[in-house]
Amino acid sequence: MRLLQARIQGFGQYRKRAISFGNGLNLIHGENESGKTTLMKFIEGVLYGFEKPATGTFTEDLEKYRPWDKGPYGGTLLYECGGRRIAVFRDFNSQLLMVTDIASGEDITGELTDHNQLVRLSPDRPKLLLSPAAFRNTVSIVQGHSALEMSEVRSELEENIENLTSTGDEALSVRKSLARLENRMREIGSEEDPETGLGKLAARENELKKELIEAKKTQDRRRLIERELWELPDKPANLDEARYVVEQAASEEQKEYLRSLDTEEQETVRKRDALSAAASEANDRFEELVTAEQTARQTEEKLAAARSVLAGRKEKADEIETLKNEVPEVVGTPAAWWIPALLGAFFIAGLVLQWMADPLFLIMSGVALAALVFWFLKWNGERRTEEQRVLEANTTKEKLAGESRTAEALAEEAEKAVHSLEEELEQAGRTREEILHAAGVQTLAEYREQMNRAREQAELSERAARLEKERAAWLNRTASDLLVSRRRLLQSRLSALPEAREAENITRELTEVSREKEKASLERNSLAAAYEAIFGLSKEIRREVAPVLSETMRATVQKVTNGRYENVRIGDDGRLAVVSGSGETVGLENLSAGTGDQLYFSLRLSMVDILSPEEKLPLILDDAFYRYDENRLQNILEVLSTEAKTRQILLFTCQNREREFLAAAGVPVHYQELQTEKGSAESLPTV
Amino acid sequence: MTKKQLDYLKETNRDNLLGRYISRLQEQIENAAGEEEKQLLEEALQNGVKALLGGADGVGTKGKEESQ
Repeated sequence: MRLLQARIQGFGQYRKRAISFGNGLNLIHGENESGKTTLMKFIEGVLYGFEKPATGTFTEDLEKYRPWDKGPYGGTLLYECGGRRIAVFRDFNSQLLMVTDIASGEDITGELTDHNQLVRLSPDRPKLLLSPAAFRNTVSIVQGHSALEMSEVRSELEENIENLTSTGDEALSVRKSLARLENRMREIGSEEDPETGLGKLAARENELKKELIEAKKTQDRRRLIERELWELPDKPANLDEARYVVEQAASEEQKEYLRSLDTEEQETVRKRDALSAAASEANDRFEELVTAEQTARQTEEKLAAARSVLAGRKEKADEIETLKNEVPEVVGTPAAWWIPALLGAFFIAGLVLQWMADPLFLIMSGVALAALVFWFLKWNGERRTEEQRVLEANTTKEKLAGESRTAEALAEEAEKAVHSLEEELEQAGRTREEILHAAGVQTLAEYREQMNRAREQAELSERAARLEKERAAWLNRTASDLLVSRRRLLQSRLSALPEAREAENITRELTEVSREKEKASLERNSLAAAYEAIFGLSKEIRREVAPVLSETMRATVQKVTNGRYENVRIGDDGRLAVVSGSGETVGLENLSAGTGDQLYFSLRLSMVDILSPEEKLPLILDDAFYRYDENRLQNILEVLSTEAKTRQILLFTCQNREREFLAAAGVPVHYQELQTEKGSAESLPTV
Repeated sequence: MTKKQLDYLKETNRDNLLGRYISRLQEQIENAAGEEEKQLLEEALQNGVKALLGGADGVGTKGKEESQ
């Protein structure tokens, strides 16, 4: 790669300036403030811009190099790479970047740039990369150590070497990075160390957990008490509730008293219940039983009397019946009706015959008639007597019959009375039997005994009821007292509860602290992971770079130290040492600042070749040898003149020593002078 | 730091530890076994990059940290 020309439209102090670079060694001289560093910044700025795409912000260089006249801000850098000539144009005002193939005029911006930066040098060689970091760490070597003390030079050199060998970037420090991670890890600390952030969070978390447990306990206690107070009645609603209250809250003495009341009542009830159930009924029907007994007795007496009457009446009726039967049946003697019939027939026959046959037959008719009249008279007398006797007999019979009927009616009446009494007696008997049966006894005496038991039972019931009432009164009174006491106790407990934060607030804080702790743990673990990864990668890079670097540096060191040191060693820890011709190993700490600078230059020169082995990149040196003594400067210029045969070198300097040495050595140099005002640099031609 | 910013840093620092670190961590994140590991690695990536940049948000430039 070779830089051809810087065409500056406006940049810092430059306005419409074109500065061309030749092949090989370019010595660009200028006094302080003549614009050497500005020119270097222009080259870097055109290639990479001042924008930080990671954040979209700009570096301070954007404002630092804004033209004083506020005119156009930007320009073009022309370079040659891979056989192509390329123009990179950038307008720093609009951040416009345009890359053009000069020969074809083709816009190849997209092929070579990324994130508004030039990262590929040629479209023909896409793998040839020159990242901003690589540019800063290799191509561009600024003056370093002039203002530093010797020890600081060594320290910085050590750091640069360490950084380059462990990170591949001078500006990236593994040691500092790891220290930052360690510091942060130390700040976060561990849960076991209460002085650290994580330890404090863990301790606070534990405190909050304990506080939360206590707060929840207190809260639960408060809720329980408040709920009990709310549910606690002024007095028991019923006896069961009163008993419950007493059983729950009474003293042993009170409970003992209640037990004695219960026992007494139960004993009474047991005794009462031991009496038969019939006993209670006996008491109820005793009067009825006595009445039935009396009724039975009276009815029996009445019945006996009625039976006696009945017997008498039956006897009388029998007597009357006997008498009635003894009265003969008087019946009229039947008349001998054949006699009159015969006499009549003779009478009629005499009349008929007298008339017909002989009047003598009239006599016969007379005689028959007389006989007939005689019979009639006689029959009539007899009939009258018979009738009188029959009449008398019938009268007697009728009289007896009447008496008999009366006797029978009386007997019937008596019998009815007997029946009635018998029924009454039977009823009384049934009633008695029923009552006795119901009472489970056979006799009135037994019933009476039963009745006594019933009375006893009633007394026991009454006693039991009295005891129950007494107990109920005692229970209600005691329970009410206990409830009042309980309420007072609960109120005192409630007021005695410690003041605690709301559990919700503690939970919220606990959640927050736990989240912070988790976050801190995650951060600590992530820092440890980052530490491990960075440490591992730095070792990898060192393993890759150190051997190549030490080998590459060896030749350069020999040259720049004029053979004083022949070899370079880079330890596992990145420490660099040089080996003298006699085989003595000299650590960096024992080298002079000048030798340190030489080593530093060797290192940078070697890194250029390591990072870009395929293409010889240019070297831009900005007062890099300001502090070199004459000998060292001569050595380094010899090295550079050798390098310039294969590599373009832009050597910016404010001294004349370099020009004189190079002229004396006959080294071809493309020289140009930078001036603060309009100078010898070319006016800006058209591209 | 967004993925775009990390990708930029990776691209512009491909030759050095920063670029390699981003690359390595992104690869590990992609192959993370679970969400927890992924979260840890993502945070490790951010913390590592910040540590390498010295807390700066751009490419590590020599002297940058000191100036801050």
